[in-house]
Amino acid sequence: MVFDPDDFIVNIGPQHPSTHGVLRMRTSLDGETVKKIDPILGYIHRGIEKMNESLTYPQTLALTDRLDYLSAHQSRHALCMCIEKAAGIEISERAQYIRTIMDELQRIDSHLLFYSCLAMDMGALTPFFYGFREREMILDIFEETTGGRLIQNYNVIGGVQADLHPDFVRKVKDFIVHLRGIIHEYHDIFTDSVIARTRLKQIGLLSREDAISLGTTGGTGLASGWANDVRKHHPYAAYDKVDFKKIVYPHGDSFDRYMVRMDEIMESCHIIEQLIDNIPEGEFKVKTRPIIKLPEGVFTASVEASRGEFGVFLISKGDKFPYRLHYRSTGLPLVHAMDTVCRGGKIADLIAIGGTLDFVIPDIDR
Amino acid sequence: MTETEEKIKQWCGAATFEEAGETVAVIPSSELEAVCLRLHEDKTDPMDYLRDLVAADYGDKFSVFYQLESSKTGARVILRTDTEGHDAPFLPTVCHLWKTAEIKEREAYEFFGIRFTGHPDMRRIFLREDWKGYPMRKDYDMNSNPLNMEHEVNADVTEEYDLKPDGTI
Repeated sequence: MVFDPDDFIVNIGPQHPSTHGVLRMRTSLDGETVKKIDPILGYIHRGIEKMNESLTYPQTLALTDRLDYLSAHQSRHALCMCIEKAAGIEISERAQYIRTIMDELQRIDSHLLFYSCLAMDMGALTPFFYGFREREMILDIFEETTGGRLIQNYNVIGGVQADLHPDFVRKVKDFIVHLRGIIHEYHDIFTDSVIARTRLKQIGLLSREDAISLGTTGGTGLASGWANDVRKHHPYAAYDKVDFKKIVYPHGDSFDRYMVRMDEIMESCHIIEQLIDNIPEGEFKVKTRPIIKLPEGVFTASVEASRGEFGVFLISKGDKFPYRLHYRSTGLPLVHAMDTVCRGGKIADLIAIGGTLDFVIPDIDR
Repeated sequence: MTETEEKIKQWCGAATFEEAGETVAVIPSSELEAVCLRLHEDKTDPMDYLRDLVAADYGDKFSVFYQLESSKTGARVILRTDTEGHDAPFLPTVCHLWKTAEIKEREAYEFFGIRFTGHPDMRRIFLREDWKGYPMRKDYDMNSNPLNMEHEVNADVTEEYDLKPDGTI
């Protein structure tokens, strides 16, 4: 039974101004209280997994950037790690450091967009521009080195595509100093506002058992008390060389989910500061064979994307196309959690909760 | 062999292990529910986080891979179950153990046609509800669903499959 015949069903349609993507939710309401949510996905389903079965390995990399475009580096990093692990290719330390620094910059960029869009969804339009002002600086840094602002096409099998721009180190350092000096503006205007606090505190509670059972990784899980950082439990790239705190909040309400990501921005700055002066010399890409064939078997890899654990699952039969390439999307458990978290709340809270759960739909639909 | 794999071998004698790439524990579908329950309730490494549920088409059978992780210790294990044959594949559900399996099993149904007995809401999720065929199967005809300009009618009632001693539904 999805809905009873006498339920009042409202369609929160695929086109709505919140920039999560195209998500359609059929909501059954009782007055203003939400009784059940049925998400209908697939408006941006592009058949990436089916396409991958007819593309060679270097060609499959191009599609990963377009999944979760706010963790483009991290998704591509996962696929490169999986293929390199399977083929036995060792990449240089310089490439590891560059990948880690780019991942952390991408994480800051994604969390700034989370802040801007959450504020805009709830009606505060000025913080939207604050977040995007700092995001412009990161996108300019990306564009100098990689050539792209949103879709960077940077990681390749064997390393990265091009070496860092000579100004990269200086600009990243300047940016971090600037961000540390200006983050208080973000908190002054939004975090301390009485409207934001009333709308976010004690709303959308998600208990720890539910979070683990639903598989909601990333900021949502951390806010419910589940320490699930892939960078700590299964370290990869240069993450075992840096020291960063685990951020865990106990309550599991929307305000905690918001604060987790604001703290993660500061932790990412800290990680970049530890790495940016010590990038070792070396080559940025190792030579690989022109046609990459992986041995037969099952291979997996996972990274901590901005929204949670992004995983790659690859079955290879020994030729140059993958037999089955599947992406563990970060957003699918989060959309499923909307039903559990929003029940019993008001419909206005649904928008705020959807903003704090922080999913992007292209990642879910693939 | 990690500890978890040793335990699986103890609980289920028919389990085999394939070592190509990552180590995968192959479990017959009749024992799947029991092994998953014991992994979930285990004292040292409770496997309470289902990372992913992936289905694959091997030509003469379908396989479903379960990637599990323990939130307490970080131990990981990959299980695999096969269906018997290619037509009308059925497997037991695990959504009473891990809630995230509800939506992941819907994805496996939609792309491969594998039905999970005991699942409360077996519907398509990404494609239209009147889509014919199962796209990720290797024998799917790419021209079988021309562009349909009619509105889809969303179902309000779905079927639940229950396992009877001899068959299903």
